[in-house]
Amino acid sequence: MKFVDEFRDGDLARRLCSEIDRLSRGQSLKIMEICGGHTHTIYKHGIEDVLPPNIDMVHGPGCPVCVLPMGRIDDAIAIARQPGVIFVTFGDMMRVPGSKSSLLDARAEGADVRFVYSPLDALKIAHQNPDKQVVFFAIGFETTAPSTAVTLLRAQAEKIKNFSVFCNHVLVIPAIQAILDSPDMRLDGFLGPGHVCMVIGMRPFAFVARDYRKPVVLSGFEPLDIIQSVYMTVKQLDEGRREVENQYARVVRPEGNLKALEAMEKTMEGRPFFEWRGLGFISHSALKLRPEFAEWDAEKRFEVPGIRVADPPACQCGEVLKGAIKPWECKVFGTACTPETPIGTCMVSSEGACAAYFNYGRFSLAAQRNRLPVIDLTAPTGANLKDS
Amino acid sequence: MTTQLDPACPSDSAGHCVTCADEARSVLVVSLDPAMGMALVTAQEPETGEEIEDGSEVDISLLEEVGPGDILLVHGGVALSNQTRPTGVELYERGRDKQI
Repeated sequence: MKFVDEFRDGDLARRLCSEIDRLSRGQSLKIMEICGGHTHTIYKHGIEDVLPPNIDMVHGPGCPVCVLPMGRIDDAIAIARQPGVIFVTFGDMMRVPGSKSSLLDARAEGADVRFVYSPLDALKIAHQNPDKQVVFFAIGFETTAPSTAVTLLRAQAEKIKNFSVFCNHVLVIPAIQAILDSPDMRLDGFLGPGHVCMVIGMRPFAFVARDYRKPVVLSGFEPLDIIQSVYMTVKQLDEGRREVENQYARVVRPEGNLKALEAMEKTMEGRPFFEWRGLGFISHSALKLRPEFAEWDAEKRFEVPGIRVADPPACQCGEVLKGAIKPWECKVFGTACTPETPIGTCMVSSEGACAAYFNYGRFSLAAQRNRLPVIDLTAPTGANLKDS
Repeated sequence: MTTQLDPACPSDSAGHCVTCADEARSVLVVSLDPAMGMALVTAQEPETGEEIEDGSEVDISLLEEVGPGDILLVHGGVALSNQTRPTGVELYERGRDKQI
């Protein structure tokens, strides 16, 4: 199939991996894929198994569901439970645990919580329910923020008063900087998030190469995209170059999508600081609605608890998100914490490193090399681990 | 308490939420409604090639030029890139000839 088959050529993958092996000369290299979509592809297609064993893929904080702190989930649930509210969200957010419950629980208890593909669908729901307040739970990186911006501009143009946005959009660049400044970080290069770059372009990544001397390769999402991006990263390291390169040239333009950036600029502005699960408070790392859009701002329209909630002590999502440990090294991975009964957000979203690893990676050769506990699929889920 | 993924959760066949993943989906433009800034599109399931979302509408207000037959990348119901120019496969072929 067009745009798929070309990027799943096994012979080419093997040739690229052999070149990666030759160029890396057995040197241990840690390369972080920032985007949760990349993590999903790496596990689903067993890419770690075809890469040379000295190449270690580190899974970054690029799953927007995983980085949202529990306090914001509690705020969302508090809005959803208010009378006369229809609370609208993307699918993965339904199961994310807050401090006491999830949006799915709130729905089971009578709250009107619905899920959609697009914020524009939330606007349609507002049209259809003029006597209700429709609140859209906006999450995601710069890929998703333009769709929220377009929806806000439409709400303004159409003078829709029963619609508002609970804005939790976060920004990739400050998170990368926080990771680079983290003292326990030992990374040799980055695979940049292709679809975020489709919006913001290449330039915002320049500081990584210039100031931190790390290569960045903006990568697509098919298996060969990722293997070629690893090859380009290793080639830069071998040649002593530190640059931002664009492997995903079929989609990413150097300047990004200027109309999308303009729509975001019109409707949203930076927050002075925002809490990221696992990374703590990062300055200027998230967006809120501009004062001109205050009447569509759910945080102004509704009372929210706004209480910071610590992660469960057993959960090591923070260390997983920073790449300090692998998912299976978390104390509760695959036992108390599974996709069916998640404790941490990395196990909720299928883009989360833990869920991706639970679903695909536990069968991999890389897991065996790292002594991942073997899962007995005949045993009941949640109690099915035994040491290898 | 949170045990079951809702059966209507918008995940693809691999149990993967394209919206939460910051992933964009390729769609083919069938017709345009320029006044509304919308396009009628069809999409294929990447794993199987099966046609899905036949007749969906997407917002095209963030693209400069769109025409019937174009392939767009869509995220959250909004088109963010027109893949028809340049063709991805040609660029990739050029890139791989140069690399190895």
